[in-house]
Amino acid sequence: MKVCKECKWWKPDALLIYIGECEKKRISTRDSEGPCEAFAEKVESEFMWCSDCRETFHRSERERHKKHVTHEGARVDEDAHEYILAGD
Amino acid sequence: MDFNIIIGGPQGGGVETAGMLLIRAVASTGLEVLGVREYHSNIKGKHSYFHVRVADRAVSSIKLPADILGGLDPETLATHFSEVREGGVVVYDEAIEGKPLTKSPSMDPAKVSRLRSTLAERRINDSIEGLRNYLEKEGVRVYSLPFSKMISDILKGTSIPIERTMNTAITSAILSIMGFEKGIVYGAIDTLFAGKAGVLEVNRKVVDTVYEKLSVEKVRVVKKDERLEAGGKRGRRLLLAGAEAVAVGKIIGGLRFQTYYPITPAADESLAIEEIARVFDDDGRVIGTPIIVQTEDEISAIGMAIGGALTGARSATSTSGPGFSLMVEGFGWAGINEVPVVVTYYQRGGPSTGLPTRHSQSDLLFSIFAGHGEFSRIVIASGDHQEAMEDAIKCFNYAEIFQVPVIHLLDKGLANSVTALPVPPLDTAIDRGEVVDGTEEYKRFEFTESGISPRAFLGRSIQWYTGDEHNERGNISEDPLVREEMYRKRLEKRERILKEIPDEDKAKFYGSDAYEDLILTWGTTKGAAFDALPALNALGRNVALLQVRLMEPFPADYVCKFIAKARRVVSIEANYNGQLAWLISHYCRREVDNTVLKYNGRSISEDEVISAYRRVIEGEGRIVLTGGE
Repeated sequence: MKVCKECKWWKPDALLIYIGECEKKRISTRDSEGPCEAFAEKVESEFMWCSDCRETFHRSERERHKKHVTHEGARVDEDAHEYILAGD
Repeated sequence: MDFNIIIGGPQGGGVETAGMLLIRAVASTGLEVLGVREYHSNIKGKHSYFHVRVADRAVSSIKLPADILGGLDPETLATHFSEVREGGVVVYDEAIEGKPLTKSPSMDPAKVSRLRSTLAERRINDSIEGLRNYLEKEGVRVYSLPFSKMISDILKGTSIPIERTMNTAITSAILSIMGFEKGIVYGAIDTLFAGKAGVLEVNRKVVDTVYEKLSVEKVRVVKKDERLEAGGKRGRRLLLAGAEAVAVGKIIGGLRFQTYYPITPAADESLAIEEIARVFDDDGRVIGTPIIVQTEDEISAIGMAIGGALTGARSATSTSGPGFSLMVEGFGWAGINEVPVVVTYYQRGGPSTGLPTRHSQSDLLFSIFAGHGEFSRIVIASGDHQEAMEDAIKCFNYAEIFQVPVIHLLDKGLANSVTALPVPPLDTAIDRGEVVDGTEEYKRFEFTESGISPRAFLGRSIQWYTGDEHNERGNISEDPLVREEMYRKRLEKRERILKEIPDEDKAKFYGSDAYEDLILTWGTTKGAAFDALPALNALGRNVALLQVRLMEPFPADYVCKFIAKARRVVSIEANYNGQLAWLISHYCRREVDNTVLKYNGRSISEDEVISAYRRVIEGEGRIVLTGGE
């Protein structure tokens, strides 16, 4: 299925993993949208984002994430610290 | 009218904004509202939620089952589905359909195991669709709405990501389902997104779209003829979390110097003071803010606050359990030097770091006994937002009148929960105790008939302070007669404190004088017990409630007379040992008959009190509550 979540250009939101951003078109979409003309197969990079674990991992840790949904990166809300309650 | 709503999602994924939006919108109608936050200490990603209770009468606790559950992710639905009543509503974004409920490795393994057992017991397959089928069979109305699709259409041509408005969408849906007009949502988003025109415009469009969609679907929990209205005019109110209520109280009470080292949940209070407080001169011009110092640690925080108090500035420090552990040495120093410093102490789950963002009332005995040696202190525990605000003022007054360190004892349940309070009067009496200018002959620790030495501020006379025993001037003395007299002077303040502090600050009684059973409680647990009182009286017993407020010096004479009249005494508190029950046993020489305890880090709810009381009536002596997620 050539939908957003399978596309190289799509970066999921770090928290609400069913929505994300298309880096190619610079638009916000849901993971199930598509297909579209800009679709490109995902490629493995040195560092990947695991949507299931909500963490970045190195190629050497691939085994631990082999059944997880992974992407080349994730979209992180850089203003989140302004409104998230913290605990320490 | 009594509505309970849960909105949940990954921490940082919009839950906080959704909850505040809901609370602000509802409060603007004049209805009473209480929002309780549950969140993880890891900051991002883990499941967090807001439990919001809306009623046409004052409420001070949450209650299950919930009427509406709004989920931003599958985990929320898996976590809370069993808390929704028959006839209630579950609403979520259709984009999460097809996702498993318990797959995410970011979930705590213990939770996954527990949820999977629950799903298996109820024969629910681990998917949104499986859950939906189950809920519909159980009489729960499930609405899978195309929030992200609708938002996606609205956002075309903008750079605003969908997730930024998901909270507005789900909150709008909930408010629409409850029968509120969309104008109140506009009001809430106008306030929350003030100064962000683009975001505001998009959010208004989201509100319009959601309301239109739900109007077509005719989704509504309340019947058409049951309009949600406030019981009467409430006047102007402030929407405040407990820590912010304390901040407002401190400002009204004349705070001039506050120190803190960041710690959950106390830091919110200092940040609120920094944001809202202004100091005016006699002509009404702003000359600055109270001085708020973020110190390098809690040892420094109490040291600086003590220094501020000695100069005559109304001074306080704010912390929670781990911080107060570090402050204890300084607290004792304040004790021997009779320093009117206030420590605002927010309890959370301990020991050590424990559960930083979770509720607990396990530091009562620590706050009373902390420190080596013997000295007088005052410990006052607030039971709700209004008391927290008023007690913040009283703590300053009592500290300065009696010249003792004061602990204002609060808890996480109060600190992080939000409610609407009437705008407080600003002409509150400030009593600074006996203050003199100080001369060459001034004796800081002078023996007087009242037992209180008139206080002069540092800088106006020569004064001596050390951690050692001292004579009237403050010079070190190990003379046994001086020691005996100075020691007695400090300790005998207890009697004067008990004599002068009014009864309503010692304990508050609720219910009929002809009670058979007496519930004892303190802190925010009062809220659940108070809200449950009518239901408890309907169980066939005449039940009253005593909320103990002054914990040290313990008002034994006042409290024990209520205990003596009761045929059954039941304590309800959020700790393992029954710390208030222990005080009653010690001071009133009577064992509490039943203890209802909770120590899993979650606040006690009204329904838990009611079900626990049924077990009390059946003869169970010790009941441990385990509710909450």
